[in-house]
Amino acid sequence: MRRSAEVTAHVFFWIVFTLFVFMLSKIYLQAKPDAEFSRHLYYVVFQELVMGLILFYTTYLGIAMTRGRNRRKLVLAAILFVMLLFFAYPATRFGIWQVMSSLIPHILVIFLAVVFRRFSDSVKLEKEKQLLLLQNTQSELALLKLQVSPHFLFNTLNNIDYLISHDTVKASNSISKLGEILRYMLYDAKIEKIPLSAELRHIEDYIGLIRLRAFDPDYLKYRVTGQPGYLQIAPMLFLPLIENAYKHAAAKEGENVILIDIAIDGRSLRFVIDNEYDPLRRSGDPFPGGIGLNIVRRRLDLMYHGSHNFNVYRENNRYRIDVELKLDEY
Amino acid sequence: MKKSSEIFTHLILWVLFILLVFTYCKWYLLVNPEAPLARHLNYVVFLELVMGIIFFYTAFFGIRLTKGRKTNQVILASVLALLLLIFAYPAFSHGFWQVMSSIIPHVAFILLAVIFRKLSDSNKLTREKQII
Repeated sequence: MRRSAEVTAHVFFWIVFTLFVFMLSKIYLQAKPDAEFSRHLYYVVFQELVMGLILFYTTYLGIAMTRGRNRRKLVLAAILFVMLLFFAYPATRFGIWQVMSSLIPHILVIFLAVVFRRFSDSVKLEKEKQLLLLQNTQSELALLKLQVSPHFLFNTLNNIDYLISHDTVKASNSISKLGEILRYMLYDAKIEKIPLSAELRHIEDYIGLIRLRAFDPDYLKYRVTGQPGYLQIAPMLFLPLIENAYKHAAAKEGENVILIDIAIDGRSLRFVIDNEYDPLRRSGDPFPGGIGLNIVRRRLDLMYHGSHNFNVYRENNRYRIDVELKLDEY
Repeated sequence: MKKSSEIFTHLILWVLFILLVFTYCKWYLLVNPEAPLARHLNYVVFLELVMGIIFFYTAFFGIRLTKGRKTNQVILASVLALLLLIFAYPAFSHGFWQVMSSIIPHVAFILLAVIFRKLSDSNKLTREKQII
């Protein structure tokens, strides 16, 4: 609830209070038209409003000042008690019900001020909760981004290590590509979202690294359909999926071991990655406890909540992940 | 706010309300001892209490049911408006201020119910904040 709603509640309360006093006075005057206050009804209503405001806001603001301090609470209670007596004093010469008709509404006003104070606190509480949620989300996203880099680096360095002993030219090219990718990670991917075109270039660079190692040129097939236009996406979102696909298909040889298909249609993006895997290698689960899949899932939940689909299929020794996203433009 | 203090707050509200109604009736009877309510004052106070409770708790529990749903909010508002008219109807034959004397306190109860609802929710909110 916003601050404006809190102010509206106060204003509405005083309008109802004024109407209530005015209505009671009118009814009283119908029964006794020659009552003393009949000549200055507005003044009486105004006086009641002022007394109500004094009692209400003394309590309302007083509670905020006395929080956690018992001595101050006692002082506030004493002040309110004196005020109640002071406002009721003129009625003492008219009788008990006149005194009560001053005391009880004023006690009610004090009670309502306490309620409104707590109401105000709950508004603050809600804001604090939303702020905490936002901070948590930001921290989690930052953490997830941090997790991507070591995961990626670990796999890539393993690749280069393999190439150094088998093909030094390819190893050199790999280091050059790795440099480009690291530059992208260090400088471009720091922001929350980047242009889709830049992300696609980054995926191509990474795929280039994988292809350098493969013997068969058709080991990995990569296809992009549609135009990225002005669409933007969370940086390195699909990278862990490609890393995992390669990790679990690295031992395989031949054509179409890994298939990556990216289709852009308007603001929709569909990313499908399909790879061979060895079901005997890890008791049928190609990603046991793998962080890659969890990272992607969590990032999708945080950044594309309610606007994405994430499906995993496993058939004929092939593992397929199908992600659909609704992107926005920059 | 704990559940027990929430219940206590509700009780104080109703005790103060009964005292208020009783005091104003007595105050009114001082200048108009022949008024019809003089013969069944306790019944009038009880009736006021029942009407207040109906308004307050219809709004108090209704708000929870309508959360985030426009159609339900419209239904609740219509139910409350209908109740206001039903309870104010007997006063129509007595004059404008008598009608207002039914409508204004009941509108105040609806406002209070909204605020009390918020207070009740803050209990849950505190727990959620602690979890976060």
